[in-house]
Amino acid sequence: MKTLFKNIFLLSGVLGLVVNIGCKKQLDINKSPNVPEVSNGTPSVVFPAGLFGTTAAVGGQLAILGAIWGEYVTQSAASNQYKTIDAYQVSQNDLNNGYTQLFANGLKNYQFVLDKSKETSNWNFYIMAATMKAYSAQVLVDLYDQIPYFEALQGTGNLTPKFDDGYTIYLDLLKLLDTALSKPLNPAILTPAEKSADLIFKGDMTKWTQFANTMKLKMYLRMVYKKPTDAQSGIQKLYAGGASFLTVDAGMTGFTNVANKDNPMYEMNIRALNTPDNLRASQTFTSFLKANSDPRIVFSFGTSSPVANHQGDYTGGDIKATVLVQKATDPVVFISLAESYFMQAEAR
Amino acid sequence: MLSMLMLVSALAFAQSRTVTGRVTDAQGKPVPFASVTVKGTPNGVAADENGNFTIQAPPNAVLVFSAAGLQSSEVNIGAQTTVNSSLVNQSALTEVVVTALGQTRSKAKVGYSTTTFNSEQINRAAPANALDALSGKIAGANISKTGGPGSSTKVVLRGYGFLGGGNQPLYVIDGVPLSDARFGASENVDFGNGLNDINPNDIENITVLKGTAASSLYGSNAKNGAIMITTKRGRSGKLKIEYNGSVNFSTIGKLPEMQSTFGQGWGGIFVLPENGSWGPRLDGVVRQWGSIVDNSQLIKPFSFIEDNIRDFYDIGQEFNNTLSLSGGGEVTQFYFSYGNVTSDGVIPSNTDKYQRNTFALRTNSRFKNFTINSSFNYSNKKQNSPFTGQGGSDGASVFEEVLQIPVDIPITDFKDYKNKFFNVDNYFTPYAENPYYPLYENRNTQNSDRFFGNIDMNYAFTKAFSAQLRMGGDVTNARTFAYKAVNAPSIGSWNKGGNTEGASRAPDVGSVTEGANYLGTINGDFILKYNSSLSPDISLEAFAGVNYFQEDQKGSAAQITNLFIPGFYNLSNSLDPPTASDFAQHRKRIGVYAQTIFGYKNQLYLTLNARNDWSSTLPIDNNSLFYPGASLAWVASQTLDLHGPVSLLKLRASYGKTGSDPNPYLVYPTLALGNVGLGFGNLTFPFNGVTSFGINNTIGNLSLEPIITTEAEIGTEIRFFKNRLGLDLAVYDKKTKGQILTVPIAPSSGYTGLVNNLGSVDNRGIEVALDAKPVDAKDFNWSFTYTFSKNWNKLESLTTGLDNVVLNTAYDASLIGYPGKSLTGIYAPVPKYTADGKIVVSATTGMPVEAEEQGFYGNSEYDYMMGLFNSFNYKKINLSFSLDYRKGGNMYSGTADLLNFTGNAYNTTYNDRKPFIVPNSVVQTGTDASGKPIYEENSIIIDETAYTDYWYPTQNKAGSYYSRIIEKSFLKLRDASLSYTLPQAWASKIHSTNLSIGVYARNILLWTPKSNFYIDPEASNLGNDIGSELGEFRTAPVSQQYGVSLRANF
Repeated sequence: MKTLFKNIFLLSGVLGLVVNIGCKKQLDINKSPNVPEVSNGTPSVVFPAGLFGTTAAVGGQLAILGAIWGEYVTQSAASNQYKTIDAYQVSQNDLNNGYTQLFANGLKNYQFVLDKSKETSNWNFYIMAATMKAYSAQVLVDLYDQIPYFEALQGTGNLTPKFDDGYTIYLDLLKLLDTALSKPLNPAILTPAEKSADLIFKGDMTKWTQFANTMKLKMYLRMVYKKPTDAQSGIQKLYAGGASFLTVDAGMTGFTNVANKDNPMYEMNIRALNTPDNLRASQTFTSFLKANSDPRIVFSFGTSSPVANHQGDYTGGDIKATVLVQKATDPVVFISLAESYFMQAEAR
Repeated sequence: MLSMLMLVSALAFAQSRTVTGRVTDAQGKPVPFASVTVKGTPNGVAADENGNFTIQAPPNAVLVFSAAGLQSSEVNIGAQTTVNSSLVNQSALTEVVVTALGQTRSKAKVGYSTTTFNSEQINRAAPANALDALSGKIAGANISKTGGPGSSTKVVLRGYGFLGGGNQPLYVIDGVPLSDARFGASENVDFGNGLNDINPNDIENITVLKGTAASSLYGSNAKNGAIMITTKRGRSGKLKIEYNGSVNFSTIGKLPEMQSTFGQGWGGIFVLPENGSWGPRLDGVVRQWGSIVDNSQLIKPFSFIEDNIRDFYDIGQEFNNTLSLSGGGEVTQFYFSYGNVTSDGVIPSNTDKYQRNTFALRTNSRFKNFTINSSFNYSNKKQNSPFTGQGGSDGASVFEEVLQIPVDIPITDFKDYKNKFFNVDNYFTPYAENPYYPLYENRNTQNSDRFFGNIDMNYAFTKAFSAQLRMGGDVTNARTFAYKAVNAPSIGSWNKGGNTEGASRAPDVGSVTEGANYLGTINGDFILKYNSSLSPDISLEAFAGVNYFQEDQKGSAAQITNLFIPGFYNLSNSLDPPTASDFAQHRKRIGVYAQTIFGYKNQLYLTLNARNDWSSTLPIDNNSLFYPGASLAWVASQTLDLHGPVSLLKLRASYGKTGSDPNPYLVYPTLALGNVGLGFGNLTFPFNGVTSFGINNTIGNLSLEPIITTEAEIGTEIRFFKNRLGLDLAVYDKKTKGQILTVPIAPSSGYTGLVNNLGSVDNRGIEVALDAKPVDAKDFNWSFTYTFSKNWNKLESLTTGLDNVVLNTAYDASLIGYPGKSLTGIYAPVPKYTADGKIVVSATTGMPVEAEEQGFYGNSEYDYMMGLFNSFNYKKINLSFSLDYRKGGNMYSGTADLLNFTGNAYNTTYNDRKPFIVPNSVVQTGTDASGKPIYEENSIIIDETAYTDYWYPTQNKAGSYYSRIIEKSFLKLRDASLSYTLPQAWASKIHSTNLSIGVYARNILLWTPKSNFYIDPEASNLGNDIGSELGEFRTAPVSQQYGVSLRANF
């Protein structure tokens, strides 16, 4: 008996030793070989993924929302994909996709780029991420007014971030843009890979400065009715500082006619659906175009006299109404040149 | 070689003399191949087929006689040279079971419920896979084969405990875990699971350890119980040759019942290119039908085709042959076997074929105190598997196309699929494809090579103390190759706008897919054992050990679509570059464990075991898991000294804890390839010459914990009338906590999912097994075993912020677990009802309005399961059959869905297809002052054109799911066999020692509830784990087999 226990004791000691020595090192193999580690992330690796998040929302679900609520197009009378939008009966979960893409793919990745580029003083990417963050957050604020901002993007640190009001967020975004604009930009140090990662301007930092200034202008103009003093002083400061604004479209191009690489509104409204003809001409838009002999009518609808339905008339409308013309290669424009000029005109 | 051994042994036992004798059983019949050993020495022989033996033994040696199923006996030979022995049937106390880690012990000591099967029981109906033979024979085990030859088998012991899958038990072969992976499986194809690689003819016995207490020694693998397989080994004696062969033919089993009143058309009228039977009444008149080609058309009578789908299927054949050689001397014995299964299923063409070759070589060697056993097994498989489920833009899947043929059009006519009336251009409908086309032009194959084995060494230091070292490995390489042909109807042809409806079929762009998978595991155990008595009354059996386990997986896949040259299936054949992916996974586990069994006067046994694992898939600073277990077995009949009718009363109680470490790579945060979902469609990188990886939207969990299963079980085994009647009862309660799931979280946190431990699932149930031998005479005996089991499954809780967990979906039907209810409930849309039970219908269409919440259609879990196995023996003839009855449970049928869409389904003749108003229905005409709806009796008629829409979810989401969710009860004749052992005189003519022939039948479906017009409820293409509980989605029907078998020993 005594030897038995002595043996057992010795045995467990030996086993314990064996286990401990080899254990930790042997078992430290839980890093996935199938995806890169976070430490592999650099601004040029992560930035385009962020761009996709903004593009998907602004160019996809929110583009359709805007097209219908802006009364450019209306739901077809022969199908029913967007009936709830046209009827202004959008329910709680209907726009989740846009919200999710802007936060989880857009803002989160931009924040990573901001933090990383600040660490390495890479002010080129800093202004790129700052401008895109401002753009994406501003779209959300304009749509929802109150969004989580100051407590957001912390992952497990805060799973229920509180909602902040639009004005405070705007101020913070303006501050961020000012910081970014004040940093020295040096496009010469960008590597070819980094230039390609800039899917919007291919590393042209002058254009990014212009984009950032245009963003500031846009935000001040949005504040004109509620906070006129802020707007006034902000715009005056912009012009006093000799700010230059966008002279080209700022947006995503390069879409091709291949599944998952095409314009998001085309992908989700045409390629991925059985019925590719849900969006038809709206009389609101066509009557305006016709009244002004606007040549863009052919661009949008393929003919100078499209058959149009009244906005929202999908129960009684013509089932043969003209379908909106969409191409897989259409770009997604964030701020167009026209918008840039329009804002400058408004500012004066 | 043999003579050398004989010489050595002759020298070693110079004092020995030749002793001969005969071993018989209680009835005086010879015990063939009984084992005779000289006690205390490694000297042993096997008797011949007549029980005669010859052995060298010194005077006063003690000979030990033993054989499977019989109680061993010891005889001191004294000065005799002739010794006979009579062996009695084994009592339940001396039966031996294989428990965790491959330790054998007598059943008496075991404190939990086990079921064992020997080789004869397993191979009676010549199954190609061992698990098929066990279906319906184990109380508490839900075993179903989901398809044709080589398909996967679902094995769930005591209910589903794991939300995320992984509900299969651990398979152990000769003490080493065996991987049960499914390679290349999806909703569209199934190549079977790992157990299919084992040749059932190589198996000596199987012990099923159902409960957690039984398998807790296995720690992190055996959370769902374990199935212990012991393979055949050689015995010393002259060379023995055994041949087992069987040929069987399969016919298709249950097929959908079609309505026979209405023929091709839509909306009540005859329409040439339609793929459904919504047309006029069948009148037998000969008319033109199908496509118009070269200004001509075919003609046929407009009448119902009997057995239309049955005639589509062929008769399948299966050849199953195994040849084994075994034998050996006193030091070394060996066993070698070669097995071949060649099977062609019931689907025409080469679409379902299964071919398996297995080689096994096992040796046992004994040198004084040291034994070394080895096992080397190689299994090669070549399999073709049909495409099930939904077709894609790359090509069709067979069963969908078969179901879309109107009831008056003979399917077998289309076999000539290149004929100008039946080809891609001119098949009668542009809305579906000729089923023979994908049958002959598309293919899905998998070839795999598997090697597994182990080396097992034992050294006995003293009589009480020994050490064991066992190293095992299991390596599989599987290569999958699939292709779908490219085709497009020509412009202007019948299927491209040239038909009377102007419709076109979208082209099939074709595809080629290549996949390679590797899975390798290494398992090593070092165990120290101690067997002794602490006192005359108290015995002690103890062991302690260390285990090392490593698993490596690697897979890669590449695919092209849009084939350029038709008929050329290679990844280079496309304008688009291939999409490729690869994947690797590694995990390791180190464990220490110990078990002690204290026995008191051979009546009371207390087993204590404990195991601690360290796993690589848990956070490195908190990667330890501890599993204790205990069980108590009391042979009350001995203690209470019971006599009379009760020959054995044993009480059992046990408690155990096992767990599961998570899958690898869930702990650390990572990046992920940029991929954004748009709601419909995606945007993915690489894009525009750039690729990008963003921060992964699923957060890993740095404090991830293992999933823990705890189970308590009590039971009893009672035997009456000298073992003629036995009852085994077990009651258990199993809780599984800390499920690992990705929980959705607010995207404003920056992420969309969090990997977390959550929830708790409870399974409790009762298992009853009754076995009896009502007649036991000299020439005739009759025995049967009856099993009954019922399991209650409940999802006890999830976590805050998660109301339910969706396990699988098919269109609008979902398999969902709600806290407080069964884990596997089926939910789908239901109509809205008023307070007094009237259906609310739409004021515009007259179709039922959908209720706000989805309705509960029933649980997928069976109410109860019963099995009955019956065996009659008359002289040398044996007749056995086994029934499997499962009552209750529901499933969604994708076959029913498609048949209701096409109007082929039996139930779509409601009201003779005349216009009707939904019975007992109302419409909402407005709301009253308080906002409550006002209802009025409904008078909207559903006319002939709208009649079709009533049966399909697009227009009648609320009401159409009743015909798609069916009750899945069934009664099957699992196997029936009649065998005859030929008289020895005849067998000797071919020098055979034992020759028997038999006929058998398998898997005959006897009954399903009237509401199941559609499919064998065991068929599924949704896998073999919890997701498959939703039902099936247009899968291949299962078949039944009839065959003959032959067994010859030489």
